Amino acid sequence: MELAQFLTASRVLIVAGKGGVGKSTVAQTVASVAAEAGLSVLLVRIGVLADHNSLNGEGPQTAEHATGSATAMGSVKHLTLEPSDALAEYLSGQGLGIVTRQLSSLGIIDVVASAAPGIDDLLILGKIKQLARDGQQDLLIVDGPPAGQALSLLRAPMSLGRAVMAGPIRQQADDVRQMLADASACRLMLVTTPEVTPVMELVDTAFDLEDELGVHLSPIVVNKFDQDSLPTSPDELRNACRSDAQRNALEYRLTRRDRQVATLHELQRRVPLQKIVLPDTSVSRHTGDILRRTFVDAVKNLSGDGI
Amino acid sequence: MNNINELLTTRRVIVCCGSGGVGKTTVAAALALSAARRGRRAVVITIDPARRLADALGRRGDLSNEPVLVERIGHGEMWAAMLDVTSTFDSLIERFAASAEQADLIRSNVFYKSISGSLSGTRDYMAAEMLLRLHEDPRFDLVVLDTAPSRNALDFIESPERLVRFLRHPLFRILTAPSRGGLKVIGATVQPILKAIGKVVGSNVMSDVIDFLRAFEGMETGFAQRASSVSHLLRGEGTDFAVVVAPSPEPLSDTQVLVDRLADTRISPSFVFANRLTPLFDAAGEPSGTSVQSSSEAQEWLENNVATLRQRAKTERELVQNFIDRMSTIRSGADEPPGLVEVVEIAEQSTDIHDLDGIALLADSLG
Repeated sequence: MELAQFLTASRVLIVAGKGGVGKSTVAQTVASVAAEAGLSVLLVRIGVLADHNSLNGEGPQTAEHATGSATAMGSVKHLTLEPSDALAEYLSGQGLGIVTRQLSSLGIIDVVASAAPGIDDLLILGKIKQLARDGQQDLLIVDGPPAGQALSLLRAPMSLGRAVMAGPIRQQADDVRQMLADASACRLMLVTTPEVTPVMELVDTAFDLEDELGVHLSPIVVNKFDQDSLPTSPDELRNACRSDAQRNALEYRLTRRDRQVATLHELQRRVPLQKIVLPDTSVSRHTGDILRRTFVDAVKNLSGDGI
Repeated sequence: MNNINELLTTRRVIVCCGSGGVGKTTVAAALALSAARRGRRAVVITIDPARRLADALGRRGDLSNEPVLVERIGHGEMWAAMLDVTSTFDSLIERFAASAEQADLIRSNVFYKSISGSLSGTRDYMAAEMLLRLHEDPRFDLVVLDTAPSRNALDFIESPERLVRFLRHPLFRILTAPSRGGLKVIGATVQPILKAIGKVVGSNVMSDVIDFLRAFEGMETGFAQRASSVSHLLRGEGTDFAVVVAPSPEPLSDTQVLVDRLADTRISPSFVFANRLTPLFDAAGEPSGTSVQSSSEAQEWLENNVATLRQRAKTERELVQNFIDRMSTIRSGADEPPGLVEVVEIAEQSTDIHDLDGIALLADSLG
């Protein structure tokens, strides 16, 4: 498949996966691949607890902190949305600014937010839809919450649609539901590592999302796969070992690779979607932008019907 | 002095927290199993909706609110349960309702139906409730709680107090006041506000909420007492918090935020379980450099493999160490004297852990 065709198949791409599978890394990789291909990209992070640079001493990002960076051809802009502020912001946007301040000071906003569960989630999705409709960017990549929470995020329009009969929130819920079910508007990219627990969770999530919400799934990204080729057969490597350290490190690596292959087969069997397999950069001999290069190659190898 | 043996033999409650995907559930289960091996009657609860513990115990679909006996070891027992939010909430309602009619009224309310199953705050509060219930259950002398991923772990601690704040909220009092004057009496200030909200979210939502709150009349005292018992239990002597981390930057910085916020609520975890570390491939017993002859491609790969894995093991341990250092700084900044954080390193297991054998292996490595 052509890279451009893959990248522009929908305006919005939601990236979701269990914690620790490298969801943010994948979202960033797709963003920079798209920028290199000349697209203008908005990378949206939802409900981040902290900027991941905080271990390096930088503080957490504030809500809607927008920054930008341009590459040779396209560009990537960053935006962070905080669900907890969504309702207050929405009410202000509806011309209820003064009332909103009153409501906030009385704590009523919180009461309503918990009274209509999922309202923050819905408003976040509404915001994404609006950003997509404004058409400032060619592609909106959403670095979403962990898989389990992605399910409740994406379910919000449906459950709220049931509870709320009329009014702008109902309208919003219907609009967002329409966007989620429209393959040319929105796709969901699920990310996993080749390990049993995240794969199991992905299997559950994938079917729920497709069946309940009609969300269109893009190929699944299998991240951190140890795919470097061995110089010779495992047995020859075993024979060549000259120390316990070599032997133990070899066995560790071989066991891990076998396990990953078995898990990948299991995923293939359970979820018959195309896969994009990305390398484990912590053991790969390849350096540089190996993730981007592998991603581009993998997309080119996808068959045309499985955008 | 913290050590794992003391943790497992003397504590009544162990709360495992950390971000998603670090193996929190399996560590929680391994702690319960380890305690059972020490002759205790331990129960592990997961509130995670992804049924990870059910996976880990290889008893998929078989876990519910009612604990099941997983294994008996001498006098020790390991039990497991999974939080069922709706039925926990239902039984709380039954417990505090003045009459069967009141309980029915609440359970049939549209708003109750939508919050009892889906609202994350409810789930957190019900987890706290279940913790308390199993703690009071004479069948168990240790409860190990596996919490939902980091942000929610904190919600779980704060949820009882949040509920009490909510129940004491003036708006709540106004809405639940005897309906003699009804909304007309409140009118002047609150009604236009309610109308404004109603316009946006739909007036039926507001009226469902008001009905729901009215149905709760008289029950808030029971709930508030329960909430304060949970709060005391979490901060009590017999309770310890254990943070589970995996050595990659993303989950670690999420966990950092969790620990910071825990400190704000005056809770300082005593244990860090550093899970899934790359094993150390010791240099001991290696032949000296002179015996290594012309390097074949295989030899070069093998050496490179050792070096790569050692580098990875080193980077991971540095990441964890940074995390621990930062955690100690926070602790010593608090009012209370700094305590030691005990770090338990757990090397990556040779198999994915998704059954009881795997949990037993993990328990072995805990010591």
